[in-house]
Amino acid sequence: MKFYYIYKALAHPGLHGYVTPYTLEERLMQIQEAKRTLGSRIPWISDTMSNDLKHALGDASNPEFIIDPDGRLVNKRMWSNPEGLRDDLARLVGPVENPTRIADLDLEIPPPREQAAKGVVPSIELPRGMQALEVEPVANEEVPFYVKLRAEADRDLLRRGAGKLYLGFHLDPIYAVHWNNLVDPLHFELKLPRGTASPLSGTGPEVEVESDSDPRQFLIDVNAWDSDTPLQATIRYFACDDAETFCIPVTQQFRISLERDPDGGRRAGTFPGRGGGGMAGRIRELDANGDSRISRDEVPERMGRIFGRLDANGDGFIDEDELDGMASGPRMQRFMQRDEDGDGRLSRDELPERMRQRFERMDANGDGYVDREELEVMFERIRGRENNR
Amino acid sequence: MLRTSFLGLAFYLGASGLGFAQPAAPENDFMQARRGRFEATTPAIGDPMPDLSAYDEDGARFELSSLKGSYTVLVFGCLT
Repeated sequence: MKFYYIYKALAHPGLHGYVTPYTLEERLMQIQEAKRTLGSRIPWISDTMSNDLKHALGDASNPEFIIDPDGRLVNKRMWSNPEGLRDDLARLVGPVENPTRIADLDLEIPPPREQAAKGVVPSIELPRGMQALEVEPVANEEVPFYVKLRAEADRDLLRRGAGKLYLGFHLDPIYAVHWNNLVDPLHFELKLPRGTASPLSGTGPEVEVESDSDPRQFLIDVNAWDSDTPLQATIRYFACDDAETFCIPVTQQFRISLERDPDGGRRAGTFPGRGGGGMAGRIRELDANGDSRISRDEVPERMGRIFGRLDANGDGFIDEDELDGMASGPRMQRFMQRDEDGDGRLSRDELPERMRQRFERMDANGDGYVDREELEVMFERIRGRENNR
Repeated sequence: MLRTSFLGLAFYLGASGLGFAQPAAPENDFMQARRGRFEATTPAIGDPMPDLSAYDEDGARFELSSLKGSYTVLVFGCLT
């Protein structure tokens, strides 16, 4: 019997600080980080950088497959289900005489890697329904991309070439670097050969603490963007490692295409369902062509009645505005009733006692609070488990 | 998620049971549609796994077709 994990494209970039790798070497470094944080000796297989395994095997977040000795598929699940897997294997190869329990493994699971302060720079407010864009780092042989760019477009930009462009510059935690706020902050410049946007340059905020690891975020108004021509972004920043062995000026470039990245995942903190509850999130999942709206042919025939109800303006599409009209999910409502100080987020003390020990895991951006988006991530995981029981 | 998966696999090492697991509750339309896409884009039960290349932890090529000779479990996951 063999077990393998397959390391795939990140489902929720930004969660716990991890960002989309640019190279196979960086993906392999993330695998080592996964092994470290899991304490697992199960070997990993790395998907290719073009995500061939993910595409060929269902494009799901956490599926599992059982293969027989002849290399044929015996069973598959869209969402991994350990109990079901255990039952499958007992049926296939027989029960285990001397069970090994989790406690017997004496797992040594280290704490998360320490990073510079988080939650120092407030996140910017972004439109709902933004989609990840294809980003190509322009090769730089001298230094790694300590900073990764997350680019997203709102639906207007994707559909009409005019709208909001989000640029998030994230420190990559696998390089153990931080922003040194005693030197010049990150500066970016954009070149849009065939189009106009504003601003075309910008500088990160002045931050009072000496160092931090929050992303530097910008929202650009694009007035026109010819989708055949990539936008070029150049950034200048100081890369400073946490061990304080170097702090060097770095210039790096990226090409951003006005093309949805199907493997871009969902930026942590903007999981579907925001403002619309879990049901809205699931409807968004049906957006097969990624145009940020659901057409009638993207939903099963039996859902016609629901489609008609949600398509409030009767234009034949369910769009973000119509999804926002849905009531918040009851699960979210129950949680937010615990928001005693009414700040729209839950502190550790406001969480149910049984969940406080998982607070650090739920608080993805490490700001000391669990907000609606972080709750949605948790709900989605729970839903996945529930639907695979 | 991965921690859950791993613990589940670990638990498997000593567990027993009979029959394939079945969903405990009926799925709603949305999850059914999503599952339908998953079913349509993965090999059917009994089919050979696709002949794809990937990499092992050291970056060496790893052929999916080499997974023969014993039962093999593959679980997708990532750090997030």
